[in-house]
Amino acid sequence: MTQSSIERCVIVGASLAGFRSARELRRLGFKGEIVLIGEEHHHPYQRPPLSKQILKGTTSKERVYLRGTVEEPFSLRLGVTATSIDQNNRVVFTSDHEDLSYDALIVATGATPITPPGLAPSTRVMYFRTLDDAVKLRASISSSMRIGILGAGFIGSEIASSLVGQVSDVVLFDASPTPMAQALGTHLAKKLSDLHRKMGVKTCFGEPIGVVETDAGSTLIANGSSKSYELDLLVVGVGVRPATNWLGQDSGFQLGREGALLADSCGRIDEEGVHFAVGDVASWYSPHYKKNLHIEHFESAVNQALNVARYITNAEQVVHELPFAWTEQHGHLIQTIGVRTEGSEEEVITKDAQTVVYFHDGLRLTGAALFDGSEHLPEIKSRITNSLE
Amino acid sequence: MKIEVDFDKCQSNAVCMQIAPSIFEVREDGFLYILNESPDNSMRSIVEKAVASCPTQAIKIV
Repeated sequence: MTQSSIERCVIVGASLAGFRSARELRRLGFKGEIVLIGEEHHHPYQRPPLSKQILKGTTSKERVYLRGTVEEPFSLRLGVTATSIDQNNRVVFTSDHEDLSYDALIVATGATPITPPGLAPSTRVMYFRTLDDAVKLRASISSSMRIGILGAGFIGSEIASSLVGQVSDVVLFDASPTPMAQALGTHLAKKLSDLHRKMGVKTCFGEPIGVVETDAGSTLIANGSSKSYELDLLVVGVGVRPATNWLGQDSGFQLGREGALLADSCGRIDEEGVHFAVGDVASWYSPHYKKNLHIEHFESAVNQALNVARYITNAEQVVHELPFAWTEQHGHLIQTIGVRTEGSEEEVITKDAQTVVYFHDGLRLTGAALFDGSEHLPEIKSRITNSLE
Repeated sequence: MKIEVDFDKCQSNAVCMQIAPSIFEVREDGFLYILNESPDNSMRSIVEKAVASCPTQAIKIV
């Protein structure tokens, strides 16, 4: 499909990836109509500040809205959900019944929080994904509160770091023995675990969790196997699942192990190059790693959006960056570059307050994690790229 | 040398401002402003340091 034959590009999901795709298409001179539809009522916004500055109260809601102007705008339909598609006739059906035909479709529907089995819905259990979730949590905290966080991945760990000191108790639960170990490896996960405790976060790691809710008005008790904690609120962050259900069971689009849409290295999810996927809902083929990677981070969402726009307009070459993510906790900056494969060997380099951990998979250097070591990133990036060639 | 900032990636951490205050400024409104988009080459090494140190990798030299 060539650009000139695309009269209308529909983008489903007014997320970072969706919004950025629209803006980049325009920036690269795409002449057709662009319609962006989004489920939430908010103007598209970025998620990194939700679990950090918003919870700490150091930024406003307005600050998280994505900025940037476009000379020739696109239509933004907010509060509208895509309910299904007819791929053959190229139509998206929507909740407001103003169905949209398209010549190109970009799926950017993101992901939805996983609900742990056995955890009943309750006013004292909340999930954390959207701007409304963050604002609601921020508004509900008080200095006497005891808050539990289920799941010590990026989000859970950041929430713990942001809330400690603002409330009476912060208890971080995870069935794994350390936080964020999948991304950071053993050494840095241990370091982060110690840091959480030093800063006053209570940790309950490596134990199965059971949640008991007592009568209305009383407290929720989360039981580790060896100890129980009385809580006023439990925030759940045990991961997300790509939001593909609306496409239907027999859409013909292939899903990867994590349930994400399998895309090639330009974001195409079909043979014709009419359907694309970007962001948390997608798993792109990585020429660096020679396999599909499902990455739920800001940087990948942006890079994929730029690449789809480049591919559709044919105005620029597609650029394949290494996966990159960052988090800030207790005043420390932690970054990951590349990929840490399961069972990889760790080479730990510590200098002053900085730590860099290299992940070796056999002879290949596949990734690294940096603790307050930002300035080494360019050099580490080229080492990894060279090693993967 | 021309400096480009991806304002979606930028989180206003102000690390760049600490390294090169004549070029980057995070103001009261919480946004980053580029004071000089095309500094001359004598500034290159300091700008490169700001690029490398940006926590969110939002700055590029183009």
